[in-house]
Amino acid sequence: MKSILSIRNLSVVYPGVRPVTALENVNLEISAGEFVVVAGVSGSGKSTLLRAINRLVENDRARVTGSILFDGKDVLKASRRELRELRSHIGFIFQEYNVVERLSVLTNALTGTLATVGTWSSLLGRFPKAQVELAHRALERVGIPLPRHGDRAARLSGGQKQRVGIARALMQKPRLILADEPVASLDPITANIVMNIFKKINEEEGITTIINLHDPVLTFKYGKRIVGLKQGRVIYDKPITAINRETFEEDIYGSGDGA
Amino acid sequence: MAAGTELRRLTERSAWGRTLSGLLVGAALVLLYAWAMTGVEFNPLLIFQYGGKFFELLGRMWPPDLSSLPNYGRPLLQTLQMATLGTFLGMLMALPLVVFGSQLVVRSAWVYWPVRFVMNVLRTIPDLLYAVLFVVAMGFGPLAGVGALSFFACAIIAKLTSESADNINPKPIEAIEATGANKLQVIRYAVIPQILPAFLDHTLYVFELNVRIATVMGYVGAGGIGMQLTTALEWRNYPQVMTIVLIIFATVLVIDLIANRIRDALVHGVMIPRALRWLGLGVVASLILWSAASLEFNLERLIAGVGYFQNLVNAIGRPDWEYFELAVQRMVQSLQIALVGTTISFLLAVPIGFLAARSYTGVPLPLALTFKQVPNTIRAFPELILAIFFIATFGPGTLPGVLAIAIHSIGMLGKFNAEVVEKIRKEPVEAVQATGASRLQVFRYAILPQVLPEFLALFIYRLEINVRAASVLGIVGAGGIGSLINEAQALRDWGIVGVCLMVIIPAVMVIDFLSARVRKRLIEG
Repeated sequence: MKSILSIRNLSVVYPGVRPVTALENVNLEISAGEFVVVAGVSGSGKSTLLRAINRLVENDRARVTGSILFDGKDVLKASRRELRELRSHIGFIFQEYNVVERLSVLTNALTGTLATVGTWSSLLGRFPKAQVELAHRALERVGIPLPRHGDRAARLSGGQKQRVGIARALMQKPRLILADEPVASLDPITANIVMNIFKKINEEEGITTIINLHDPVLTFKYGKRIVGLKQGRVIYDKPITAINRETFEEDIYGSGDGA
Repeated sequence: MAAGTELRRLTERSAWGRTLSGLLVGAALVLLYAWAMTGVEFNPLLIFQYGGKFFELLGRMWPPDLSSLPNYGRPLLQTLQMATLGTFLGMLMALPLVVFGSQLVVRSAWVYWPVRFVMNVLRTIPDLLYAVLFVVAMGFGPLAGVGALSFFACAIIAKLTSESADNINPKPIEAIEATGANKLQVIRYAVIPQILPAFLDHTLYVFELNVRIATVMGYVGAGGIGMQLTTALEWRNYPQVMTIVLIIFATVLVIDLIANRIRDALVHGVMIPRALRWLGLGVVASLILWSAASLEFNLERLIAGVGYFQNLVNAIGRPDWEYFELAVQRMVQSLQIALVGTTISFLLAVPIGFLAARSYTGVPLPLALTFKQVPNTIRAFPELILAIFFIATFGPGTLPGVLAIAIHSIGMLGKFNAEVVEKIRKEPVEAVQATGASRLQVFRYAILPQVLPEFLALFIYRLEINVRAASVLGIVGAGGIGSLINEAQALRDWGIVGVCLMVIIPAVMVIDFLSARVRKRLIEG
């Protein structure tokens, strides 16, 4: 299979009075169409890994070294303009959904197309008819019925906001989906529904998907390849078929005593 | 045992320390007020002696000259047009300041610190001082008023909104960035939607302020109904003065009422039907266009004004340092006026606050409602008009300034104090009542601790506002550094105005800074 993402010697340090090394020498090779779950306890570096791939870590003034090749282009060496172009191919889904609550559901989905529509018409709030049509379809696909598309996003429940977040990512026609703890703020039932949406998208369209999860049950249920992170290092990387169900939790999360 | 003695030693020392620091603070306050009251030559006897003249003056104004009413239609419209256009232009100027002064939008300190500095400097200059400067630059008339109001509006809207902008949710900004959107698109889709409600709310609030200011700006020649007021005063035509004052009063009340309704709807996030929204936008847009057209707002005059403004800035840029000492002296006097005036206002507003808050104190409803209206009514009289009345009573000097500030501030302090009282938590009150404490004890131990920090914070905030007011009231003859500006304006000596600016801007900045620090400590405990 063709490699879509190749991470080499990636280290991320958050500066400060006491600098924190969030990732150390991470190497990962992701092929097109894979469905990868990154597992680990909080603080293990999962978020930093995903946020490094589209360089959101720069917002936290992190120092990043190594290389991240997305489709053969080095993300870390990209100029601002190239970075925007790269980001437009990567759908990102956040734990807190990060929808703009004052905007309508539809407009939130349409923000996924900002990188491809003209700046000036988008500043006036105008989007091409075809994109609006696509946004309606994307929202319906993730389970938001048409009558709710005109509502303010603030009026949605958590699970519905996350669906809008996924629709926004779908509008980007992404080649890669990065989801950072997408179900951590949801109840178990809704969490499964949302995870199934990711699964379906991956299976139907073959979009490469990397999801961070801290919950072992969901990790085991949905992951087709599981990458374990601990204190910023990759300690586990196996396809689901090679995983020993008995020792899996111990291997990734560890008990801490004596290990 | 050892721990017990240690504890006793600690508590004894802290009790003794507290008494000492209490005494020190008390002595410092006595000295401060002694200094301030001598500075403004505050003499309660004078108020009783000449206070009667105030009512005599009112008597001479009664009945108002209603036959002159039709003459004021056009100036009144002009006043409202000035306020509309000034607020609109100020809003346009404020938006970029807010966006680029936000750390969440611009991550480079090289951009947001300069922007914030400009914002702070703009805000230090009092309303009437802007008016004086614009009259010099653009000549007499309403356009000078529009210029002054737009700068004043810009300063306040930018300041208030950027405080709200610091609290917006940064997460949606990241989400939009992650889609590959550019900076402008991020601002349009993640920043503007979040700050818009606060921005509009503050804009409407500033419109209320601008209407008040616009009614008196004519006093320094910046157009509007204030010009008629000045003429009537000069001719000592008191019934006409009364008519104009009543018109101003009614206008301010009506505008406040309408603006408050709209602001309530905004704050509560009421979804306004699309049609109504477009209608509202249309009405506002046509009001702005109509104002611009009837004030003969044209580019040519604006450009000429910019030219004059350069001259003015050049002239002011060469301050007349000879007058520096005098300016500092007068600025100190302004501070004293603000301090004494705000304190008197505070003493009057505390009981009003309790009486207007029915929910807790159990005051009968009609009485509470009456007291609730007192602050609103008072607020509708601009300080400057009160100052003019008091000058007519007591003659020019610091006393009219002190009184104008004392009375006008009751409006805001009384209103907000009542809100504080209404928010008193019942649980601690019941707990103290349950111990068998007397009413006075309940007040001292359950109510006062809840309201005092907030009352004091409001007092200090008002003091901050009043320092600005006190530095311009002198323009009409009510003492302080404004009197120096007045003299400079009469002599057309802009170097003196420059010195005054050099003194006022840092003084106000220091007061703002201290006030923010003290209020933060008071509220956080």
